[in-house]
Amino acid sequence: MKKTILHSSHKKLEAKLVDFAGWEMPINYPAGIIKESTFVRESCGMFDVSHMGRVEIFGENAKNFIEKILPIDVNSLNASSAKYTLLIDEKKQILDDLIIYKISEDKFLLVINASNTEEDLDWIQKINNDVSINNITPDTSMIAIQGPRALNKINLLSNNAITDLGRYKYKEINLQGYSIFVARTGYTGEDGVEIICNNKDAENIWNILLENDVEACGLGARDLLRIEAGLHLYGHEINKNSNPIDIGLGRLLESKSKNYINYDYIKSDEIQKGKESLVGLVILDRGIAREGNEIYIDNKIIGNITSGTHSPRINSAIAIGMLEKNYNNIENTVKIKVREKFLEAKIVKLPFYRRKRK
Amino acid sequence: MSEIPKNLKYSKDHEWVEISENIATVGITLHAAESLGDIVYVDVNSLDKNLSQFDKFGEIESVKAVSDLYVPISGKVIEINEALLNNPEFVNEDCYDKGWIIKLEINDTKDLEELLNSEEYQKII
Repeated sequence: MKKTILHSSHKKLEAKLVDFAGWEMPINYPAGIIKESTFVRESCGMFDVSHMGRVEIFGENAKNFIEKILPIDVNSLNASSAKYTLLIDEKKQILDDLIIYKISEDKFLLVINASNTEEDLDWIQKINNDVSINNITPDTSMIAIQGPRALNKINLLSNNAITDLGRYKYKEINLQGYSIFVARTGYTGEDGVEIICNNKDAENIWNILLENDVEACGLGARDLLRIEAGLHLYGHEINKNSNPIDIGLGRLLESKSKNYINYDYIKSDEIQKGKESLVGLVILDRGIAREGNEIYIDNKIIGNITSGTHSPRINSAIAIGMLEKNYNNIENTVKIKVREKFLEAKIVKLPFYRRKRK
Repeated sequence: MSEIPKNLKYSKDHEWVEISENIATVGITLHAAESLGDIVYVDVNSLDKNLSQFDKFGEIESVKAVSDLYVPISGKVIEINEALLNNPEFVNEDCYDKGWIIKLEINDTKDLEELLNSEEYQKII
């Protein structure tokens, strides 16, 4: 199994390690998933996300190439800015969801899912004929620092280097002598940053953050937090054959250029004719609905659970499900088949949790 | 390493049992609690039922997974730890004391021969 540079740091903290997309990663530390999720909601937690793929695309024609492969309006993406988007291949299959960072007119960085890195790269290479593609994943590490105190912590450690950093913006800063890339992005529903650094600095930076009361959190807490925040996870809410509009990501299809390989598709009637939609479910009975469980109304299967967990914020089990559109009315009550039992659940609007904005 | 009380008997399914006269108290081991992680539901649907050794008596569910519970000894379920319904985290906090799950009334102790002592249990975890 692949290991991140911080693997020994996780072991030192007595993390429980599991296989995640071929990487041995911490699912939780001794504090446990629930307490870790609460650190992030109430203070500040950090996650080793070095397993995620980081790919640079550069060269004279980089901007053109990005316009060709992604549904973003590349002209509206300013330097030092980031955007959440989808990678859709020429067969209309969604290969990944990702964040693109514009470094300059001729250089971009893509941060992609660990589980899709190889397939994404294969496809990008196949389409490519005139840009340079550099997979910097093996040479760099990535840490997400999330929570209401996250920005303060980074400011304290960097001489207030990010007081002016807007959401979905990034900059290169000096943190206690280490040069890092810091972006105000995340996957928890809290404010915070994601940093990329050289491998040789990762352990020192991790330790500096620990010393400053940033709690180490595992992928279990990350999953709980992103479900509460109603955020998609590839392989769950997003699949190869998903219709982007059905899964609530129609807003990402903003390309204005016929240079985009799926321009006709995103402007077509076909994409508007989805039959399903993603909803939130609050479980009223005792028990957690989990991925794959069937959703019923009047003995008829109307959908499936895509993700489920227990939320200490909602104080009950919650789930995200894909439902036939006719049945997605808010407040509708449905039954979810969990093992041999049927759990009653109420359809709610996503997200389950929204942070208070300052 | 998980500490394993010497005065208890253990099943291979990671339940512990403590016998006091004709009453058996049953819970899950620290190893099981740690593997499950944060426990959010404990459900027992076998109150007043006569169960044979290793019959299912309920379910325990954590954020990560759900797991069946089996009685390590034959008997009648006479009491459920009601506190666990609202405070399932007791199992994580103290699985051998306030995290006990059920009490059984037992007729004899011959089933105990099928169970492991603390040293034998240590070897399988």
